[in-house]
Amino acid sequence: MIGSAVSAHTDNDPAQPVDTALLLDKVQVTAIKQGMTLQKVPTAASVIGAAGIERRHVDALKNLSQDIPNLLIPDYGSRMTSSIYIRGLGARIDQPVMGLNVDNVPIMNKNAFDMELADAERIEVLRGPQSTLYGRNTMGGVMNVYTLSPIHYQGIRFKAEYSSGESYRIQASVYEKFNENWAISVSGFHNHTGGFFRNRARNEMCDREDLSGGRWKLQWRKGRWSIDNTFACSVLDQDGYPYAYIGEDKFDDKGQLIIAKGEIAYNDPAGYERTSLTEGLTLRYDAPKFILSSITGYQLTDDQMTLDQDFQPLSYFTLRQSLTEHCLTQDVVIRSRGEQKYGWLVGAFGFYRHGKMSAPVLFKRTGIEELIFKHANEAISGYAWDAEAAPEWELPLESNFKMPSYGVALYHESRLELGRWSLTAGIRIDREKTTLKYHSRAALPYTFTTSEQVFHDVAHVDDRNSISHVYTEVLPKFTALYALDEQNNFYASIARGYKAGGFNTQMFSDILQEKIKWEMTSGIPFEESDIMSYKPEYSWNYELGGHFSVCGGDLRGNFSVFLIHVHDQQLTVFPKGQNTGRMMTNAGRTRSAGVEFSTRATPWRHLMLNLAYGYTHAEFRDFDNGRENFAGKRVPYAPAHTLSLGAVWTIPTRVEWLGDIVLQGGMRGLGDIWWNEENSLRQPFYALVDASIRFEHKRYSIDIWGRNLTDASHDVFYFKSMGNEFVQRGRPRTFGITLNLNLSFK
Amino acid sequence: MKKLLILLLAAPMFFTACSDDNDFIENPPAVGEEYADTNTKLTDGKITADMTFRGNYVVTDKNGVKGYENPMAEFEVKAEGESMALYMHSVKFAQAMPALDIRMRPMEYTGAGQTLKLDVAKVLPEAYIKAANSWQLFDKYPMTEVKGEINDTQFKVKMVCMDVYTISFEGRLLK
Repeated sequence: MIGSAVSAHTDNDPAQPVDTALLLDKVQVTAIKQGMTLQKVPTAASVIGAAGIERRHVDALKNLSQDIPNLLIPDYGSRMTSSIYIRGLGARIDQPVMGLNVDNVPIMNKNAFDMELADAERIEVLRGPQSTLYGRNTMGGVMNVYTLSPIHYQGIRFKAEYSSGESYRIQASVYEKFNENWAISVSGFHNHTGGFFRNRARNEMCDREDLSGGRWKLQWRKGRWSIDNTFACSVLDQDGYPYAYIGEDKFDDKGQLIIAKGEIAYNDPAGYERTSLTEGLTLRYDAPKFILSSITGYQLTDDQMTLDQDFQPLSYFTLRQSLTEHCLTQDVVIRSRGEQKYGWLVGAFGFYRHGKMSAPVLFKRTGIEELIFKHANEAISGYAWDAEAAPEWELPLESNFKMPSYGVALYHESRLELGRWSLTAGIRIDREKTTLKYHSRAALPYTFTTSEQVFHDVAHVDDRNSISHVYTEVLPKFTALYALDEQNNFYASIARGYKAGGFNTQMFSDILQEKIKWEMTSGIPFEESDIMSYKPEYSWNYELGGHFSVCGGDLRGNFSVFLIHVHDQQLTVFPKGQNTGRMMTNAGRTRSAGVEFSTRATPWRHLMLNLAYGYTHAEFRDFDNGRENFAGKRVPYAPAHTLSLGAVWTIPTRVEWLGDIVLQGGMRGLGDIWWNEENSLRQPFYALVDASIRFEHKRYSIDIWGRNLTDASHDVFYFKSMGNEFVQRGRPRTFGITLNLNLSFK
Repeated sequence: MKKLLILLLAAPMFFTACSDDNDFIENPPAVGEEYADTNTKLTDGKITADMTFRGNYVVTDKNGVKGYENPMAEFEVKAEGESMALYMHSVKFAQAMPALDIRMRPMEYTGAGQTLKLDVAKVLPEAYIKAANSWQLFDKYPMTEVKGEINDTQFKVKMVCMDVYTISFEGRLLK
């Protein structure tokens, strides 16, 4: 169901398969940086056009999982936890391994990645390091999303959908072209999900969601000038974190059940709220010998995550993390044009980001007793909470952060055409400064009792400090492409990628805990500054691949074989001896080797078959966490196999108002996924079967669909907290019906 | 020529003699600190002034697995009449434990010249507790087989905690 190649066909071509990407707009960043067709670029690329997006119900990037070889975007937690794994690379928190551009604007904050893709016209997934052209955090690739252009389409579109879990979706948009120069579109959407998972302790569905938003797009074309301006906003209110406990049944001292195996049961509120705005301005000037483009972007991400961190019906601690982040980006690219043997591109990029975050952890009675005083009394007996001074048994650990960062980059690419050969060399020099200013404080009232006396005291911690790092990166790329003809080629590439370093802000509550304990017992200051930061991660990617299109385009696709060496890989660990917060650490070296293959075949005019397969063997070459060396173990969370098989059979009814009947069926498979560095727990390979019946007319479609039709049970996420194990289950069998109206003015 | 040959032949012996003293692990001192060249605080085997040593502190379990290490640990030896007190500053016995100031006293010792030997079968340490602003008995962690030696400016000591953990320290005298 996914188009696996791109060509520059127009909408007017009657023989055009519906799943081919539409006309590539020259103002799109792929065209600006890579050229008008990805078929001729030495990169493993997957492209999904509007028809594929609609038929496949790609409403969010996570719906692309498995359909893109070696790509996994698991659906767990909340829309904040947009982890991306590709070719064995990825991380659960902080810096993403893939970049995301929406209508040319780079989305800098991973918290905003999981968005509604309303009226998406085209989605590209470029695999392998794109760091030379796209910069930071594109070590695994880049995803480009483009929304429908009012220059190319005018009309009214409407979508209404109802599905399992009391879910519905409504979208409406208007596209108008005033004259040859101006066009504008306005769209809005609202989604609601009642939820699939129940929290027994609060007796409510714990994955309810409401998401609303809109987009405004203005396009102007005149002579050599093109201007695109897009403004998008969305507001999300979501309950989340349907994590099921998978340890043995737990009972309290009176024999009452606390939590049963397999249950979702936590007593404190958990959820995620987010407001995001993006504004993007793209200017392009087509001179006779060069093209000058400028992409200016602004993003606001304002979110709040509330978490019952123990995920049990016990009063340990809760977290309420609020972030407000502004980000400005500017990219200027000059590219040669024409059919000369030598082509070049020069670019400059800069960004400024400022985030303000507050992340207080509130310890409650059980947490105070079990995590603070129990450990203090293991060293020396006599400590207790001062209930006289603080009868409410609550201990807030306050952490406030300011995170300004900025960076500049210069990049260049040269291309030399020698007959059938196309040789490319590129380099990017990237310099970035990142700062963390923090203020963390806590005050713990306690008593210390000896045989003679009871002492009352308050352990105070009040820390302010600032940490800064400057990183300079040099990111080269070399490729060679041999074209058999216009549609078929082989390529080889070597490229360096990097993922930015950062700060373990989620560790601060842990650090505060330790400081409080030390202050309470001996008064000796606790200093562990080396766990507050993590360094960038680097990779060298070696790849051989090719694109093919034979039998007049009836069989087309691409393939690649890759080897990736990563050093200073960033991995999420729970630091030794601690109970709250997760920490990112540079884990040593890993190696990923694998293959990818995707193809689309139309053996018969009305039958289309799709296959996308990826295999990755990702293992640690060196990872010693101080207690164990995991060399030779598989990297956790990255799947070994991804598989997508699909068939689309179009049956013309020959009734004008009815259009065609489109029958679709497919299977998406994933696994094995190892859940820990020890490789002692894993999710075996599983397959989900989807199908739909669609009545498809040029002005409307009605789609009756089902996902996970066999109701296959599977886990999409695993973690350990305070010695307890949790998973998030995958969604059960779901059904839905979708109505699309497409009232073109032409 | 003959003198040069004798010197050259003697050189290996000189280096060998030096290397016999060099099975002692020595870490550089902290910024602003200097190691003493000679020990003027130990005379005729008696402690005449407090001595502070900077060095490597290691805790290992029964299987020899290292639980904690601090290359900049500070140990103090103080005279208490005819006995001594050993102060261990900011020490831990396990990674997750908060650091404590611990002292063990009184401990009998013997000595001669600028050497001192320590051999105590068992001692209950005390920990400084901020809330009480005093030293409290740390009786959960009895120390046994406490054996140590000060040899001019070098101090080595080893002990067993709770019959499980072996604590060792090697340090040099600070000025």
